[in-house]
Amino acid sequence: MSSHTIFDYWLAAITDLPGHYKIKIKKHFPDLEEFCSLSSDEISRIPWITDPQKTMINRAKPISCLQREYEQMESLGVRMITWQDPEYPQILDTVHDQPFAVFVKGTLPPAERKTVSVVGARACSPYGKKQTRELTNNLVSAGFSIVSGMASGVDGLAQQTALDSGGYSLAVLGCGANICYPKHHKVLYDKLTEDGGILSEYPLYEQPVKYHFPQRNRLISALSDAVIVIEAREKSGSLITADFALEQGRDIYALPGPVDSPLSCGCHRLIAQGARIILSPEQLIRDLGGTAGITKTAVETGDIPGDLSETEESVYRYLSFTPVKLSELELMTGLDTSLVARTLMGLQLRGLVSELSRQCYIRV
Amino acid sequence: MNRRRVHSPHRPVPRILTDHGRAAGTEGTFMSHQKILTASIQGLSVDMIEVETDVTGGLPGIHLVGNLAGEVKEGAERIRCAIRNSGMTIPPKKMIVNLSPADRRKTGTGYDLAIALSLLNKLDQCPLPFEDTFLICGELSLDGTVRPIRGILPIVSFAREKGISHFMLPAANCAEASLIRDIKVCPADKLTSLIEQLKTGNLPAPYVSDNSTASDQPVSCAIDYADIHGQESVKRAVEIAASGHHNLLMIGPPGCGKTMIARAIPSILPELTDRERLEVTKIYSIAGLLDGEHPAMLTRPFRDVHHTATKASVIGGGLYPLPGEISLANGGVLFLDELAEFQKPVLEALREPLEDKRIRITRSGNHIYEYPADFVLVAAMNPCPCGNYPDRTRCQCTPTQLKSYGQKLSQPFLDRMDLCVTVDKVAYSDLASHQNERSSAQMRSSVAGAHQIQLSRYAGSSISYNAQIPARLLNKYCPIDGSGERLLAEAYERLSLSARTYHKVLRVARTIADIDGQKTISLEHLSEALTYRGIDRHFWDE
Repeated sequence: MSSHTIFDYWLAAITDLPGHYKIKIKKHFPDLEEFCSLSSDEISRIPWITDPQKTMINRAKPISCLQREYEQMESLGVRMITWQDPEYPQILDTVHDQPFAVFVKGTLPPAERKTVSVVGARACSPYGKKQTRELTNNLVSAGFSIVSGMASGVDGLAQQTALDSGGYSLAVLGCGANICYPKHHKVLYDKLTEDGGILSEYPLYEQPVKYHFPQRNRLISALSDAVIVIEAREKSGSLITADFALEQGRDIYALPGPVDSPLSCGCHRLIAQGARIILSPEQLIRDLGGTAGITKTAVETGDIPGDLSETEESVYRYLSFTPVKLSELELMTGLDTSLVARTLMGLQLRGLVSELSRQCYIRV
Repeated sequence: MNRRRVHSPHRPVPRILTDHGRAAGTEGTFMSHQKILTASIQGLSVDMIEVETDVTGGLPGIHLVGNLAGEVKEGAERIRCAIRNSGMTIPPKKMIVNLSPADRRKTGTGYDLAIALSLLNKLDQCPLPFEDTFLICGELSLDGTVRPIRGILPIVSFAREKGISHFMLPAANCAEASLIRDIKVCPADKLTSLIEQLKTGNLPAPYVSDNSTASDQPVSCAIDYADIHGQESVKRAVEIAASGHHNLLMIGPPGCGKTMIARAIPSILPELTDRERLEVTKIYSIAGLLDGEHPAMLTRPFRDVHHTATKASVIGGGLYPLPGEISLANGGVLFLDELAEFQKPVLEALREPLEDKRIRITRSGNHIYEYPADFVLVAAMNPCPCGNYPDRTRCQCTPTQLKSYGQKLSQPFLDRMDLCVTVDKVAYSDLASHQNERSSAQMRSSVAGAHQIQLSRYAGSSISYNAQIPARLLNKYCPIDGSGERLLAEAYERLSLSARTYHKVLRVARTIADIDGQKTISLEHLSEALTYRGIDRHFWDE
């Protein structure tokens, strides 16, 4: 059972106060009730609390406001794990700015397995989606747990894929553990509560404010042994996660992509600065120290199915895993637009081609 | 003292004639009052109106009765001035003019001439030497000029159907009226000259059309499709839309040519049939958009509606409802550019006319104005607020923005769009290459060929184009064989089609087969129809 009190909750709820300071306060004032009742004059007399922190403490919500939330915690399915708790993830102790307490739904990553975080752009390309699925499937088969931020795009997809393959996934949120952000991931959120875990540094009902997310990213990399970046723009949150990973001494793996795609720009920069390059799922797993299991089932790029007609082949040849438009195909094949349209529909219905959007096609 | 009624030798004995009467040509033997025919028009529906005049005792004045709108009653003053300015006098008597049937509401100013002639006839100042029934229309200005009015063509058309073939109309309206065959039109220019002629017992010389409105004028359109490079799939979609009257939605980023492609559509539309020309000209007549130089509509209308247009201007309205853009586009194309910027009520108001091909506007007092609205809808829109969706490398929109953008168009409205094509920005290299490009002339002949086939296929039935085939007749007009069924079943599953889309694909496939000159719908026709199928709200889901 939990050994925390509402005063622990109160301290955890001072969101802008760094975690290691909270721990320091707790070490000096084991009985937090005493600290809580100090007046602001008494607090200012404590020498090792800096002025900005004093302001933060003085501005903290009073206990009376937090009473109801604290009592609701159990019924909301959330449990509070402070840094002294045996359940507190040991991996977080290696991090300087570790959280004082975490709020958890579901289960924490199993200790005997390695964890990797899979992060990437919210607006990812079809290539990014495909690679996320493939890499995550392979990682899960090799026994890794997946940590991510449950955001749109790569994060959510990685977590969904992990759960669908029967693996374990942990979502680290930039808001209170009982709030599902983004809203359209509600189904994923519920599934994670059952089959995986949800973790947050923030108190209940805390809204997903912008500046929470860089802080949350540090936890994503802190909770994993390695960080995998699928797609990232030149300036993106995934690169912030990679920065934290560097600080925390975690390995960074980046997936290359088309050189003219803005979404692979960040990944290429990471590789140029020394991150490891992902060449295949097998190689990635080997580097991470696991044993590769699955062999690729998808058609190798460059393979053309043998049973295509001449027209079909000439159209299929120009398709790839990056989207191609109907108008481009007309020009590249030199064929009449009606003929190209009909051929593509035939290929679609045979499952070889998929329509990303109207008149925009990719290979399956 | 007895007073005996003495016949004054100077007072003529009135002769009651039982027939319409012939003018004796000499003074003193004018006919008694004669009924004069005119017409009132409400929307496109016409009523025959009889003008009766009577002179009684009482305070002098001209009184017009018969449920008249304000502008009709004002005619009394116009007529009085016109008559006086034509050199005649009106004796100080009380004159009542009735436009019967008296319960029908009469609006507009076309009754002036008829009323004036009726008055003058009653006052024995002007004979009406008509052998046949004449229908008289025209507005009078104060100096006696007969001014043209709107709606002459529907009036003349209706009257001809009722058996009336002689008309007296304002000179400026005669060209318009001459679209109707087998009629005799006497132009009326000024009241003075008209009355002088009538007094001599003659009618004004009939109008002879100079046939400058012949239909072999070439369609002039500023843009030719040969000038548009690299958009062959869009041109194909336009060709299909024009051929079968399917509604088309173009989606693409700003500046990729959607508007230009739409504005070039008139260059491929075929001629109006005679029946269509009559219908379109009638609508433009009511709307007051015809003039002396363009008395008839020769080409299919292309109406470009700005997204700030109000509901009344688009579907029709006003105090006496005039045709809206949808009726002015009847027989042609209605183009809605920047579809997402239109007010939602306007788009919703379009749903019914898109379905029924007509619009009914009711006013208080159970007045119903009905106008036809059979047009091809072509719409253009951006795929998302920033314009780059679904290219996620460039699209900056959040999922919420995408969702709310998609909600600007209701599902039922999207269901009305039979074809959907994405338009892309053309790369520079494509602008230079000229392979496989189709010109307006080529497309026009395809469209004309398809129209011919449909004309003979649907002769005698209530539909005219493939897009109008009702679901229950799809089996009859769009039969497909076993392999076609299997293809559609496969597509139904794989592409998540709905029943509505399924039906639309069949109609579009029929049109593609018609363009190809084929009687049977093949797998290729079905495949191409599936490529251009319409979209639904899921287009904006990621």
